[in-house]
Amino acid sequence: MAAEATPPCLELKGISFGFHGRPLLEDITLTVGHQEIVSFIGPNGVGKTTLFNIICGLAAPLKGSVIYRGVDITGREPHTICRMGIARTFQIPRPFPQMTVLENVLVGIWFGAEEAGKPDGERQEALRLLDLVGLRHKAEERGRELTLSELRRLEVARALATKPRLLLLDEVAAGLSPQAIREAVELIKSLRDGGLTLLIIDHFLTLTCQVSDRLVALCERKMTAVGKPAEVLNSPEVMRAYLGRGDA
Amino acid sequence: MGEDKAMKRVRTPTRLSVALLSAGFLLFLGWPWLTARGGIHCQAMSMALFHGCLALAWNICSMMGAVSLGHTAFFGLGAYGSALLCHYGHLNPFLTIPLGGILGAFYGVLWHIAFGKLRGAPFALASLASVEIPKVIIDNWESFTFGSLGVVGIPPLSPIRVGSFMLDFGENPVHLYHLFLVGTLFLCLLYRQALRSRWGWAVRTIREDETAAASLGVNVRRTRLQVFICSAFLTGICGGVYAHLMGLVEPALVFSLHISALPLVLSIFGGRFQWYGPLLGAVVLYPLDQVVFRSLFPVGHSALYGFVVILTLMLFPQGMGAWLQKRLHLASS
Repeated sequence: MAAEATPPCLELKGISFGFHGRPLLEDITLTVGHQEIVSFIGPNGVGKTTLFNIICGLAAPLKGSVIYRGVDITGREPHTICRMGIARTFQIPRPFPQMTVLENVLVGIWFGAEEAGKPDGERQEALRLLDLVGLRHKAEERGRELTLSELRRLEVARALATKPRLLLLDEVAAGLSPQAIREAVELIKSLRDGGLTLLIIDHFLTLTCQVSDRLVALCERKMTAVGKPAEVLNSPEVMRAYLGRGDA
Repeated sequence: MGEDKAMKRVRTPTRLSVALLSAGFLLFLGWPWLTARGGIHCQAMSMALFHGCLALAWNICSMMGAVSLGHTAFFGLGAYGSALLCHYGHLNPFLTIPLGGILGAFYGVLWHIAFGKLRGAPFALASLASVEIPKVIIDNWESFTFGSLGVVGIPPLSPIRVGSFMLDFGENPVHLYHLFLVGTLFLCLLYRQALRSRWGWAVRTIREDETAAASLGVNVRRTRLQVFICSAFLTGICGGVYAHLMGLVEPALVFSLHISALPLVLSIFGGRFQWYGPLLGAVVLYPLDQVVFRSLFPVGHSALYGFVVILTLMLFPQGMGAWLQKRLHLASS
């Protein structure tokens, strides 16, 4: 690019968050480069999803700021952030239950980042995205009729429909079969090759180790380890958190 | 093959539904001549169409998932706005009625500012409570609004001359009927197009999952405000028309729970999720109540609405519209 110093895709600067005076996250600072895949691991309730909510504007941090491509987006409304190019999936899927699967994806195309072209192209694009996640045969079914793993795939298709440059995946791999996980790994790699930056939450480490450039371990409100997957998984803090020796 | 199936989704009207629609339209057009001209059946159907419009206006909010119990606030403000402008300003009712609608819309903006954050039951209760504010003000500002005595002597809708033909809505019930029919058709088409537009999709996503909608780029706050303004404006217009039909307005008449509840009943019966549902509910239920039940049970006929809501919610939770649509699909395929 022409610019000498392109700003990084995402910067988190000293993010703190809490509920009712009880701190949940403290001083989360992280820089994510373009086309990087960063995964967050950590025990239940440590605040991984909350961190995603803060990035997407669904929650406001108590302190700190979120910088996306050099622009401070802290506290902006979710739809603005989506249109700037950040999309996310929900851990507990949130389909539009009365709409068909195809319509669910069309909503993302219509309201997402870029103004789309002619109506026919939109439909083709939606079908292409459904193909990508293997849901094309379900295009005409209503959102409420899908199984949980289908809903997770719909979440991905819908998020991609908004034409993001940064995609946050919240537990997309939970409960998937080994075969499905292999497909998910391929999908994530191809998305990155297509220019996307990805943040992934994966509680069970099934997916993360295979695709992540870096792993971030969250434990007791703080980032305890950041680095290559193997390094992080072998760090004493993470061993303790995952194997529970710290409780004794 | 999957593609064919998905592409078929572009709905083409079936022959059956086109035939039904045309037949319905002709029936409504000729209604005054099928019944005794200008008789009670014609007047009942006029009022049915009027309530159909009221229900359509209410249903815009409902499409977004906001079930309101306070639309009578917009109705009353529209009625009083138009009545007082006519009284003090001696303006043409066709000018004062939209101004009354704007007054209603203004109150809709206040709703959004005051309790736009509420959803579900708290929203419904807040909307119910909000009726008291304009009602109490109008009830007590006797020097301006004539208090609980109300405004009397409101002129009827002014006649319109078309060539040599005089459309006299105040005197001729058939002309009034056709005015309402045209107004209803116009509103219905507008409503249908709005729901099929992107804006309509935004409204529905908010009903189905607001958080997901926001995360997909739907401007939830702005869409909610627009919905309140449209719904309140149209309800205010209905209120204004009502004032000129009746010739008088009183706080107890135009700020009543009955006016809040009726559109809800008609929409739930006809189908809240179809664009034609509220109108269907109105043209079926309202004449049934006024013509059949009123003569059978002069005192307790309104209880019909209570039964209808309970029965509909139990037997056809999506309303008659959804049920009919399913039948039509089966019949045509």
